[in-house]
Amino acid sequence: MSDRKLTMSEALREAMAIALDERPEVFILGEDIGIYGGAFGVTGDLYHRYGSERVRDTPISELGIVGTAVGAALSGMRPIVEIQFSDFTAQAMDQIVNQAAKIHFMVGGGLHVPLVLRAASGSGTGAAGQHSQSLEGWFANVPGLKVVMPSSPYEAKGLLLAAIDDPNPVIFMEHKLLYKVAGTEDVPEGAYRIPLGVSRVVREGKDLTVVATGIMVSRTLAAAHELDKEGITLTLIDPRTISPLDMDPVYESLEKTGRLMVVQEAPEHGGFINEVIAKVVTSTSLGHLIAPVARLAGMNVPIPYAPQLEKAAVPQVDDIIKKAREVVASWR
Amino acid sequence: MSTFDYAVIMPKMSMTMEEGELLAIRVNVGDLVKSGDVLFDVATDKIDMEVESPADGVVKEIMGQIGSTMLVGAPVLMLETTTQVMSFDFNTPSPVVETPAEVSIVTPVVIPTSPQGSVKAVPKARVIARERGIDLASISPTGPDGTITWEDISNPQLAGAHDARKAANRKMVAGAIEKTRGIPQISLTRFSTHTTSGLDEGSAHLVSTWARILRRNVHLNLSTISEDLREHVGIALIMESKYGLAMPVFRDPDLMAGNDLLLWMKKTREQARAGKVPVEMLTGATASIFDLSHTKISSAIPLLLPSHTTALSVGAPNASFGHSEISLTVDLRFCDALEASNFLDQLVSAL
Repeated sequence: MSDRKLTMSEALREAMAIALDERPEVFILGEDIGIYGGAFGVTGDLYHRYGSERVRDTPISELGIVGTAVGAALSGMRPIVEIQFSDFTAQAMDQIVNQAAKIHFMVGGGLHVPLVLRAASGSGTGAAGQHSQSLEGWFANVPGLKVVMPSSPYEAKGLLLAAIDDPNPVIFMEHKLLYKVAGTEDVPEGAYRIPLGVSRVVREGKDLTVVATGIMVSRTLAAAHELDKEGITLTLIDPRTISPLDMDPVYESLEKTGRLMVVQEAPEHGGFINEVIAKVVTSTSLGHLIAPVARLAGMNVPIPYAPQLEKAAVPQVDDIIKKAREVVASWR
Repeated sequence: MSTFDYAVIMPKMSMTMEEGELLAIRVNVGDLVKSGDVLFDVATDKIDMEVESPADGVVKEIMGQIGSTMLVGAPVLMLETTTQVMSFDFNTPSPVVETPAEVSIVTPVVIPTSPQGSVKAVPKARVIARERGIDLASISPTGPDGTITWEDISNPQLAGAHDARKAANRKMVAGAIEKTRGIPQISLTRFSTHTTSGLDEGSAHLVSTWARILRRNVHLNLSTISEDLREHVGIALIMESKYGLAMPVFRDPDLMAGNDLLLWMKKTREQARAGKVPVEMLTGATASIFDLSHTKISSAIPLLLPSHTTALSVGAPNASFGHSEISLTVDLRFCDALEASNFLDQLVSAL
């Protein structure tokens, strides 16, 4: 089969199946991931294929789930935790931040915590303020954690396999709206890995460099197709992992475009994307800028329930088009 | 309010200047210009300079062609202004210039002083400005909020103007040196154990000390053109400029209070570095000084420039012994070698 346009759910499931096949120490745990197949259907039939020992339904206690996983990881297992909504990681914060991220350092490097925490992130499903947040910036601010934000099915599969291989805790933030969308690229059937900490240049243009994460990658790509018609071409860079962050392609691109725009769904204030700006303006890359940096991010509000307001609270394709057009037209 | 059309012409920058080369035009038709904005760049065999707008107005027409040589008085561009601009008669020497036989500078422009306040520019424009030695204050911003954009500064005319001025400056200095090649001259060198202070302090002391000696020995302060005695002592001090070297002339520095001279020295060095030597300091030299005290060069043979009778150079102090080499070149038509050595001795003991 050459045509393999999977959804991100399917691609993630394939990655987990490969890991379960490859390594006996891999197992999955989380709420409703067994018979129910996961809140967003990501684990699907894995329970039936691999059994209740390796695909384990847990009680509703995120702290208990992550604590169990940290202990298992320390004992030589490679647990994959699924958190139904990334908002619920708040319940498990002590295990993630104070235990998983720190143990390796507290014992002088003598122990590893090879743990992957997958969580459904972002807005757009009408799930309101407690089920719609984009919390990646919290984790990017904790040394010892790697933070991955897949932007497509192909990326998700390769990045998840790399995350499972990684000997350290990895937070894997999956945007809910991407779960059911088929990608534009074929997803190879077998195993492939996309190394963590390497940015992807999604497309190249001459007028503007856009750094976008997660779902904002496909939104920016849609905006770019519209802008192409107006003769404005943009380079799109997807960092893939926001921690560690690979800035080199951004610096290289800015030498050509001189204009930077950053896009994220998370609220603007204190958001991760500001780190990209900070890295540019504190490096010699600053000297290539011919325009003030443009920033598009979520509003500093809890995600509203009303669908129109929910949409208005985070950058949409039209917002990206408008902002990009404005930056390029104003700064020659 | 009524408006006037005012032709900004090829200025007469010296008595002997008949024509000048139009190196660059910095404005376009329709541009709003302020008094003091640079309109165009001119080069002659003697000096090159930026010509500034004499008044606020609008550029109505541009007649001059970049790269062309234009006669003094030929209109370069037409300005529409509400200000009545004073016109000059270029055949009457300016009253401020007393040098009898050399040059007088009369232009309807004001030499710019350093711009006040900060200039808004995108980072890349700043980088380019620094690389090419462009004064950001001279650029008309077109970006939002009065910001200088990349496009504003990437104007090829601007980049060309800087290179052209540098080349013109080099040509001018080389041409001047060439003219003195046939003059009988001698260069003498001796050690001095004087101590040097700061760059400007040292230069100011040197300039005033040498001026005092020249004033006492009037035949060393002759005009080599007319053989008349000079009424003033003018010391051209060789300084670094963004266009290469500049030779601002300090007139009668020995008659000034030390502190005033030091302030003048500091200000002039800044202006020279920015390529903006005040027009009244471009002429009237009777001698030159090349002060290398703050470099690593221990000595340089001073070269006579046209109309100068002496040239002096002071090298950097020797790291082990602390002494410096002072060299003096004199025009043998006005001073013999023995006298020259006597003057050099006078200088060393005065220092």
